[in-house]
Amino acid sequence: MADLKLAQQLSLKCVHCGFCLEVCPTYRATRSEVHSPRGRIAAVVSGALTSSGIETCVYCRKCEEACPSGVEFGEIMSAARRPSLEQIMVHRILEDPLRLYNAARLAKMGLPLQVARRVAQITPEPTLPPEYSDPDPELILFAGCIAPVFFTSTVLRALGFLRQRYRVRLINACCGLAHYAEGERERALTVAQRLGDAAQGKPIVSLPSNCSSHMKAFRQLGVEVEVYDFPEFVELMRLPLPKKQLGLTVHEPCHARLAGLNRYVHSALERMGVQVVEMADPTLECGAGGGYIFEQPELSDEIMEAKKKEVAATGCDTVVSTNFACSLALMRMGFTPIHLADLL
Amino acid sequence: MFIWNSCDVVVVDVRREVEEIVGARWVVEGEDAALFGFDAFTAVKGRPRLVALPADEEQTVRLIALLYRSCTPMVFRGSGTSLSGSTVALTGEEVVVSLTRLNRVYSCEGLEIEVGPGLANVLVTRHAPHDLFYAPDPSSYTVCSIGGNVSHDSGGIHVPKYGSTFNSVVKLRVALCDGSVEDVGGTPYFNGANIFVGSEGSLGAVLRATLRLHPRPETSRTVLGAFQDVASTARAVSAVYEEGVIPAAVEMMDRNSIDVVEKSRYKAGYPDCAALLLVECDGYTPQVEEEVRRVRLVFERLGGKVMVPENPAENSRLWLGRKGAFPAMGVVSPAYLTLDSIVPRTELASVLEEVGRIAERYGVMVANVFHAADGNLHPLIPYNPESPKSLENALRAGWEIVEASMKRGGVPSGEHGVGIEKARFMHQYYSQSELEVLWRIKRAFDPDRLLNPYKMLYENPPETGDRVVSLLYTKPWEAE
Amino acid sequence: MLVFVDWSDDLARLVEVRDGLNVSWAKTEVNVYPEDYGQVASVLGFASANNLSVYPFCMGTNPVGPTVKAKIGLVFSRLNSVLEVSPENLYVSAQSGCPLTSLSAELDKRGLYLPTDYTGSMGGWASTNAVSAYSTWYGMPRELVLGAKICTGDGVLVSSGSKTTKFSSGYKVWKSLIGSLGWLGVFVELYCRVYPKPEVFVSGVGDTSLLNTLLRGALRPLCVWVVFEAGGREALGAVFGGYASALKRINTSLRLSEGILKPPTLEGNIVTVASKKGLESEYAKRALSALKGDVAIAYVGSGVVRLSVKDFSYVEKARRLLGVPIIVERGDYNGDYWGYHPAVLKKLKQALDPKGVLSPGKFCLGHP
Repeated sequence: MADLKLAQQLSLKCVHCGFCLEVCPTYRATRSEVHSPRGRIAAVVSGALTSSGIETCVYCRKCEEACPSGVEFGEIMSAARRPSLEQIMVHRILEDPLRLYNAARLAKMGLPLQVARRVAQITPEPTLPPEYSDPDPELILFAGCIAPVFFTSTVLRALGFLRQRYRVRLINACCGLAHYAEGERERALTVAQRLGDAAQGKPIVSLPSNCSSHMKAFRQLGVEVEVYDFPEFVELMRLPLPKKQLGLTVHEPCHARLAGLNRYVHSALERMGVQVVEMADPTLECGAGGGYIFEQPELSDEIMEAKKKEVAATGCDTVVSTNFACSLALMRMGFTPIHLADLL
Repeated sequence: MFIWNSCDVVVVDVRREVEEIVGARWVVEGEDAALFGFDAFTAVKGRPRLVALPADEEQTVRLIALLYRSCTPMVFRGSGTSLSGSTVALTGEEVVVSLTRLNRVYSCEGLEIEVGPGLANVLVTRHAPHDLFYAPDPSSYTVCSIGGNVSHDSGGIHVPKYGSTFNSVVKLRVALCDGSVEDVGGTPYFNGANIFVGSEGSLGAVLRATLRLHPRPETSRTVLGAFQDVASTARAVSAVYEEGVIPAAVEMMDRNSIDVVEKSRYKAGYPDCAALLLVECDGYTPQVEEEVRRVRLVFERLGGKVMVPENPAENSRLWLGRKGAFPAMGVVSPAYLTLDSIVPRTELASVLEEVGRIAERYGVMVANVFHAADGNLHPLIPYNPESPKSLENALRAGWEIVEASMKRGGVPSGEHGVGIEKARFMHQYYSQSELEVLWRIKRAFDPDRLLNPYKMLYENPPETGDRVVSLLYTKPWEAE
Repeated sequence: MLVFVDWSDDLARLVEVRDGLNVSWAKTEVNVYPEDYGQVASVLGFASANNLSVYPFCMGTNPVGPTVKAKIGLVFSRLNSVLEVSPENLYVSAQSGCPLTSLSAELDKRGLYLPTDYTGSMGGWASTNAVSAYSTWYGMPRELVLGAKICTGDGVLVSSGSKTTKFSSGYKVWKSLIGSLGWLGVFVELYCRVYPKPEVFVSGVGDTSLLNTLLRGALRPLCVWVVFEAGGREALGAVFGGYASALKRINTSLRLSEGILKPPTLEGNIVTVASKKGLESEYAKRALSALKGDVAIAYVGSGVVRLSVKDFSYVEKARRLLGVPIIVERGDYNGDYWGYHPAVLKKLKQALDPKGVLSPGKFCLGHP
């Protein structure tokens, strides 16, 4: 129970001012303290870990930005949560995209499990994850877990783009964010170490931006990797970009925002001459949250409903989303999500 | 416990009937109910018997009528950001009626906007036409709800020019304990909304509020004055008005609060000084320019060093420090008390001196950061939440500050409300016969005293077994 | 007249008693002239104990609503002092019988002003929640009165509110008395917010099409009103206040002149109409036609429209048509003067005037 102690220790900073409520997607959906950061902290402090709110946290960590007292809410949730068997199963599947491909096919065939039915509803047709490596690669393209199976063309475009200048190796794997968020902290470390080993000290260009954000924080777990989010790499290297005559809006994934990565998306689009119609709040949570979209169907649908209104208000159908879990949510809302790489 | 109750209907299973009204998903009980048992007043936590989150006005009204009929005490709660503990479920008997789901914007016409009580303050302006804004802005404006603002008559930094919430309330729709609903206010003579503003949920529930919007100022400018002694700083506040300036905001920070801010992530780069004033002038550009010129002159005349931010970024930085002053206290201590007594502007220097002496006597560090134009003190008194002794010390220091304010012609609460925190001062601020008149009002609306019991008005202290609660409810003359 | 003698002798032991009033707006059997707050309290205590009705008034310049018939006229003319003017704190305290003209003179000496053009007493101003042209920016007594000493119908003196700019320390009893025409209690002393008198006032007249720019634009006038006449004539007036250097630079198509221009004074039968704030002009036009009135004044931003009418035969119809409170402010009307009867008002009456002695018939509670 050392983890609970840690969570409780971190919770002491909370002065229950409530500043976190209105930025929390589940609070906004339910208007209930149980599903708010402040309520979750109170549950942790009192040791009431069976409180339903502990499970319903999307782990977007927007509350951390709103918190005037600097409470590390993500750490509290990660330390306090006990993953369910189902969650552990999902994590294992995510660790290997081939497994994810097979699981998704089973789900599409009608596997009689609740989570499988939800997967079948939400995901597009799965594709076998592509594999690629140039000899003596100088750069890793990290595609994550979802993209290689459900957004294969995006991965291939990114690969093609990078290969114009670099020798690239494609890695389809999990970054461990889902594990970390849902309380499988040790396994998250293992996953991180595995990834660190696989990178062999080479710089990683990561396609899913929330994973980029998580990997950038690997140092705190004691794992050293050099990570760039794809748009970040494109912008830092000033890679040449094609001009595009397009009107679209941009979704800002939550963790990417925490790491300050979304600005690179905007500057890349600006260089391409793309017309961006801003949402009133582009950071509004999409409801995907890694495994959340599958595990909390009701709440994630309610969060998506709010996001759908926000996107619809721009009049755009195309939404740039640099995170693939978000893209799944946006597809479910009826929009056309694209990654920056899709424009190259 | 409520011996005056005259309930005639016995409701056998309140919980079941509550569920019938709001639906199972919207009833919270057991350990989870405790998550609704506290607000931003850090010293006391309670645990409601049950929480209900009605979806709309109709459910709310039915719920209130049911609870009242069944002799169930109730607390109306919005975002739960009260600093006086007005929404704490103190005894454990209370059902919390959460009004958070009543957060619609109904209409916006002319200078009026009609909203639900659960709407966050910040969203009022967001839903207003672009040339108008909602003026009251308590520091928790991003989250505090309109129902709570109305019930506390919340202030904020722009009160000097635009008034407190009271001045912006045009009309209210209220639910009374018998299940009736009335639209009050919006009338030129008698205005039935007046009594509900600042009544801390003890007379009925606010179901809807029609609020007044103001034209957005053409220009807004900030002047910072840094002074070498507190007396000149305080003097400068009145001097600004004597120049004919009506500032939108005048905030003061003393050395302690500046030090804390500069150590925190709200660091503003304030000049080294004993105290500073942040003045905001807004409105018609030529008028603002002249106001700024005069404020500068006043500050310089009184020996102040003047800073006028050159660009919006610098301007925001100066205000960030002020706005972050409360949370920045986290640098010093994980918990702190904030009071909100008021003195006339002319008493500021004297009361601040007294605050210094009180702090010394109790061995606490008091940081003062407050609405100077309103004479509205906000002494921040840190304490160690693990140590009851430390909390008691902080409480007593705070009480003395409130007393020092009252002695100088002030009042116990300017904007946070009485709640639990200042209930004891009602017996000091009002005479027995005055209190009886307040009770007569209370009884006319709530004959069985079931609405937000023990807040603002109480006769006998609640028996909760909690030492802090019994301390808070000790009448001043009963303390040693 | 035996009964009369009985109680008036007792009353005379408490306070000076004189002949009653017999004018169009009030009839009283005797009038009393308290000289301190204790006397006010004892008169009301006595009246409540003996079920004697009381009509509080002072100068009688602005009676509102139906004529009151009461046993005792409670006259505030001797409680007429300005108590304290604080230029630093920007408040004034005065007894409720203090005429606003003398208060204004005191304030003027110190470069201050109370933004209203009301002409009666402080108590009358607050008790009628009198609207004026200045209500556009400064609001009404509801906004301007910071606190008061009041007396309940059964003679309890209560200090409510304070001299400070905000107050969140208990029920706002004094605010409930504002506009209540002495029906819930009486003011004995008032604390008001005052303002530094602007260096210069500039007034302007012009076309009503300028209304929205004035109301929602950058200039922020202190007063804006629109006058509508039955024949279709319209006129808009506005007053600006500020530093000379600033007002010189006003850019508007209004025809400007230095000084304060006032809206016309209404005569005869008067009706007050509640409007949405900011839409007074539209409500004034609609009310003028619905009530077949002569003149309507829209006090822009205040939520109040006042009209002079030939008679009140269209009041009920106008209430149905406009769906807002329409009040017969002055004149003989044999219907319901108010048209709305809030339960909240009834509850406050129970609490503050439990014997119901104050101003009988001033408000009716559902029984016109």
